Amino acid sequence: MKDSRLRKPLLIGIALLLLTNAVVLGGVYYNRAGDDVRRITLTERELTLPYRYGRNRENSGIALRLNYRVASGRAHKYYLSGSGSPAWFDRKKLALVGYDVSPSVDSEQGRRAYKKLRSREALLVLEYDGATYQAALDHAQKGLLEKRQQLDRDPHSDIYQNQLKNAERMLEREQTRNSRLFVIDVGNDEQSLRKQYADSARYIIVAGKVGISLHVVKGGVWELSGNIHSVAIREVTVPWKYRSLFEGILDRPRSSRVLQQAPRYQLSVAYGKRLEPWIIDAVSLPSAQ
Amino acid sequence: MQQLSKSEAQERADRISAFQLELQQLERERVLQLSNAQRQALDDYHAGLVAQLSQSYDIDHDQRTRQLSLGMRIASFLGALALAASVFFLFYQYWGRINTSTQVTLLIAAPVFMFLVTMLIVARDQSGYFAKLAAMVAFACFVLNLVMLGQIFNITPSDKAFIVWAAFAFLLAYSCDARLLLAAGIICISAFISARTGTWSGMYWLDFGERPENFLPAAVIIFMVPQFIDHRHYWGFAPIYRVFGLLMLLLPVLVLANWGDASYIDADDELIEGGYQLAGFIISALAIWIGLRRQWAEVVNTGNVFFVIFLYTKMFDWWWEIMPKYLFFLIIGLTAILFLFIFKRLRSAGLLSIKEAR
Repeated sequence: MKDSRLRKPLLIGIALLLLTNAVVLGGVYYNRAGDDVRRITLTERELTLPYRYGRNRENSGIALRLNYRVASGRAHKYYLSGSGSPAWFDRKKLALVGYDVSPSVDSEQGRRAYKKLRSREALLVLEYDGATYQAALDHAQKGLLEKRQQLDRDPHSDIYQNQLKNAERMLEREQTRNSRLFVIDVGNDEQSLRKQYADSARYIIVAGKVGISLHVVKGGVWELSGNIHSVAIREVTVPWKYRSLFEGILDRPRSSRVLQQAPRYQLSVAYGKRLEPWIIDAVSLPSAQ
Repeated sequence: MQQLSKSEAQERADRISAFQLELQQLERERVLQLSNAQRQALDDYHAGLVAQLSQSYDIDHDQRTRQLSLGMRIASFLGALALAASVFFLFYQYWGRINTSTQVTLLIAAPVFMFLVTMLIVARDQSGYFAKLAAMVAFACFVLNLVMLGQIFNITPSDKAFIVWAAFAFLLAYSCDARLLLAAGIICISAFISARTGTWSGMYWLDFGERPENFLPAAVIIFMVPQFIDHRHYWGFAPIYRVFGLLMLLLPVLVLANWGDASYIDADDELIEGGYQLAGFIISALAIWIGLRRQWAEVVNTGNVFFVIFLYTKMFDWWWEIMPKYLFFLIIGLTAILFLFIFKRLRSAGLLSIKEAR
């Protein structure tokens, strides 16, 4: 009698498990099928290996972290982190991603309304090795030139000597190690973004999270701007067939990894219809030998 | 004998045990005297019934078996959690060394296999402890299944995973009479409802915890479930629904009573905090009242705890800065004594009304 009572839950449970997996795998197939797939070639500078510490040592999977940057409108212009408030993310763009920007920032009530607003989902456009990266490079070169001129005026200054060394390091990093991937636009309409940024070898469109930022600028004036928080998929798992390429690098002592200059591998990454990425090819670069 | 649940059978055995003890006491005090024949018939009937219940439902028929059962329940709970954690870490340790097809096959096969094992154990094992353990491992395998597929194929995180996890947890909970899995199911479905409430208001779903009000619809739904679905055959299920419902209602209110900035309401923070403090007092007092009326002990206790938390939080806000510490704690202690007197009077009034009704 008990066995017949369990028949219905048994069938429901099996159906639930199999159907869920079918839907998930069907979604993966849908993402990767068709002509809407975008392919881009990135290096270690844009997709970095994890550190083998703590929990990661218990995890035999290898996932590369997407390393992108935001050109902020403020003091440290070319952030090394993937969040910030770019100058182009203005009130108009905030309205485009769905924020109500009608309240005035000059009133207490308006500012309170903006402080209440939370992050939203939006589409981010990432540009690879384009105009924004070139501007970051120019900025570092200009900075080095300024420090050289400073030291020329006062050659015995320890402070200027240190500042010159820092500027040299910054330029070297910008040329060989910093990510060339920058967030350059946001939106909600995927089709129009695909049309506007049609060059799939240079632009990636990803799902991400944005927020609103309210701050005081010079003269005590309140300014509203958008804030890039993060991308939805920050890590890309390395398929099993390319594992051996990365295992050798991961197993090396950490000090040798810190000293390495040029990227050690290059990856061909595809982004599908659901904006989910996967690695389609991986090769080691001469610096890895 | 009519079909009973294990909890109903245990209740019957406990009543028989209590009846026998009381009968002995009444006989010693010469209040009631049964004839030898009556006593023999009664003892034979109860012995037969308890033996039948023990065989059919694996119940506890004395204090020793009750203590052993408690030990088995603790062992089952800890074993279930440890095995579930072991499944996760086992897969994490080795998944990177096997190809994608094998990974996917293992991830799908594991919960299916464990579910079949669970159903087999449910059909064979009367005690239920092994079934609950297997059910917990099956649930862990299903969670691992979807989490790892998400990692392998770099799938965008979605709140829809919570709904299938909840469905599976509920299925296992009701099949195995497992309250831990019921709690897991309630947590998953509440997370889904709260995430959806958040996305309907425009926020990113993963940030639903930033607005405690997102939990309020889930709280009401979960609390009301036992009102619409009969849980008489599932001992302890209805109280779990009610406690979780109340916790999801009162914890956000407590947070907002101290942090008005987190509210959806576009008003001054102090006004919001004041409003939620008042709401907290009213809701917890209502919970105590409803709990007393409906004889829901868990609702009374939860209401009590939160009423005290709200009261002491308010006292802290009023007096901590302006009063010497010894005086502050003296007032807290005196308030507790006042509550004792109030509850004692309520209890006496309750006993008096029972006597008068007789």
